Amino acid sequence: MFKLFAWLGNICLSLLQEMGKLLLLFLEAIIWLFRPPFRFRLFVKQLEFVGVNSLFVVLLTGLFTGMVLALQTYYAFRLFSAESLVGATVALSMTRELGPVITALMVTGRAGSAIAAEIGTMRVTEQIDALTVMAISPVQYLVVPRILAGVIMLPLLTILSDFVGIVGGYLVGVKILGINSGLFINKIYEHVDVDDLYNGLIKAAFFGLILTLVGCYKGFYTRGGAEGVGKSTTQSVVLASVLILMFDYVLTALMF
Amino acid sequence: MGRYSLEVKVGIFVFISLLVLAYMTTQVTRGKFVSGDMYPLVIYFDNVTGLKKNAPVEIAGIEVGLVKDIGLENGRARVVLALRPDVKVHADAVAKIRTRGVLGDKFVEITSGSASYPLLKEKEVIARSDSGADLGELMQKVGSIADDIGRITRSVSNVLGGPEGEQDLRLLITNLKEMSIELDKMVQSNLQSVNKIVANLREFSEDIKDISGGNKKEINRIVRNFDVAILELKESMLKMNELLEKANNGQGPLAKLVSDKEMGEGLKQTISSLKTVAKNIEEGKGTLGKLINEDTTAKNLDKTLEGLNKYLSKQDKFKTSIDVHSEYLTDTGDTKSYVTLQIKPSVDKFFSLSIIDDPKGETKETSTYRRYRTDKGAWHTYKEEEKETKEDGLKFSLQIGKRFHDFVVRGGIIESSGGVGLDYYLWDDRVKLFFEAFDFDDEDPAHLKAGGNIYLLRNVYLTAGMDDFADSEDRSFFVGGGLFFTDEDIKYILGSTPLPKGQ
Repeated sequence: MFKLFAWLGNICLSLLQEMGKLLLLFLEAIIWLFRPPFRFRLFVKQLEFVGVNSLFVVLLTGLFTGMVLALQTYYAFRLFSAESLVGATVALSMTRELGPVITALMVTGRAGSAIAAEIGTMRVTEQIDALTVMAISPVQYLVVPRILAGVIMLPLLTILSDFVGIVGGYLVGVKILGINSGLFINKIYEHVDVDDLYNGLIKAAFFGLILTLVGCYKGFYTRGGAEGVGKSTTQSVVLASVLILMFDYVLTALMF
Repeated sequence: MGRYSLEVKVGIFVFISLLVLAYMTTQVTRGKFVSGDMYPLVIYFDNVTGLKKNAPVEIAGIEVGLVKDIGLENGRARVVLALRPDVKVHADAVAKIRTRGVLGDKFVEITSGSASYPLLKEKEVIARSDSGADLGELMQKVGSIADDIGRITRSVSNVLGGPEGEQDLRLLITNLKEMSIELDKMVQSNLQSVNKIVANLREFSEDIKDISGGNKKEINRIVRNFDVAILELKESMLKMNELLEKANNGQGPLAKLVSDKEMGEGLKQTISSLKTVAKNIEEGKGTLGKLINEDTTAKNLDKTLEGLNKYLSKQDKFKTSIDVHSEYLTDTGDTKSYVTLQIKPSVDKFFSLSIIDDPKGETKETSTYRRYRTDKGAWHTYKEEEKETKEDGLKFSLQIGKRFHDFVVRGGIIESSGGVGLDYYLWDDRVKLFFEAFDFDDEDPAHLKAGGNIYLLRNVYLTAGMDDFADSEDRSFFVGGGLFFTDEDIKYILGSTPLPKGQ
């Protein structure tokens, strides 16, 4: 009986501790962001790693998401002869919701896990300690460029994903299912607003922050050799995905 | 490639993404209106059931604006419309709420009115409104009308139906026949009356003759009075003659004026030249003559005035703004301040002039090569470099810019050297992202600067970004704040400042 309480208390405490550590790492990163020296080259390297290298997989998922959306909504809208609304539905769901979320999840799987594994390995092989000994802040050297790259690159990837998704919807809707192309496009103009686009991009920037921060955090506090690296990599992907979906709800409720 | 391959890759990626963003935003905003350009009009309706904010406003089926606000005022619905500035509405316009589509979307339809009425200006009220018939009300009305028609037909059939009705009708027709015969008779008897009228007229003219005959005496008196008047005129002419004679003999001031030879000559010349001028003018010679005689002159004058009017009204549209801001450079701890005057001749164009207080000042580098020879051996060359830094250098920028949707392209002189810039506005201009490149000389990489402004209030904003990030030596983050005033603010401040009253 007493053990049960102790167990519950331990879970609560470790949860709180984790949240605190995450937030502290974030604050530390913000402080180091504004302090010299600025390692521009490292930053560009992370831009390439998080952004450019994720391009292909993001485009691919965006395209297929748009295509399947068109296919699914077509069958629903056909029930009351409103097939022309497929375009607007695809465009709205891509820009507001699916574009940012799917992009963020893909980048989490590709880059977030890699960040956790890389920093985790550096931790267990004591390279991070070596950095500290050389009077280089590991937070500034490792964490700041990755977070900044995530915040900047996710919106850009999302834009491309949105665009490719709408193109995919167009291909399926107009070329395969035979919806009138003029109607398809005009309904997009009629229903999609600039705010839809921008709010999706704000979300994406938040997701970029979450996935890089969680990756860095899990890597940074890795314990226990190769096994620990594997564990923290898995944990970072799970935690980042969960947080992304949770924040998605909160941000949507706030913005729309 | 080599060293740059990484940067180039990232650069291409960013460039393409921004291109897609620009394409999508311009496509999405196509045909929609920017709220800043619209002008409001007010209408009062009895009933606005189902009308929502942002519902379209149409003239002849073409979208010209949207419903900006709906509110209750004295038991009526007050609807504020925002219309495109190029859409003119006259005072006799009628506004109607109409329904479209199966789902019953409501929209406002207005007629633009007739040209003889004055144009409506901002915030004026469209006086005539029609809430449109409610479907239920309409049905009720149609029902009662049908009832009335039914009643009428019933009574008609009562009156005319049956043998009695038939007899009545026959009677009616015979009455009509009699009536027409009477009318004919009346006209016949009136022939005599016309003859009488003519005779009366003849008598009347004879009477007039008599009247003028009786008044002969009066007329004679008038003629006599005339005679007396002429006599008096003769006397005054005599007096005039005397005066002139005196003048001729050199008596009195007038005489001097006339008899003085020089003066006389001068006067003569003046008069003769006046004569030629008048002649020239009449003939259309010379500028003045042309001005007065030719039709084109009048037309030109008209055109000139019109142009002047246009110019003045354009002057009215000129928008001026003043921007003062400072940036704290985190690397060096210096502060860089800007004062900018921006003039907008139209909505999408501007000229701006800035004065910049740059703590880094201007750096001049001069290098001289010197040669020397050791023991008549080989020549050695060495380079002497001199760096001269002027502290607190004042720089200036002079730029011309054009705005496309949310993008602004600008260029000209930036910080005392040639440069170009690109701005991007977000969220109704509340956030501005900017990028500029200037100082393209050979000494170091071009000065690149990028950052963003957040407009917290109308007149206050924060700015942050990175300055000179292509140059590893001078690269620095910056944060800062600024104030921003347009001529409207200045007008407001001047208007609300209490002025001391004159004695």
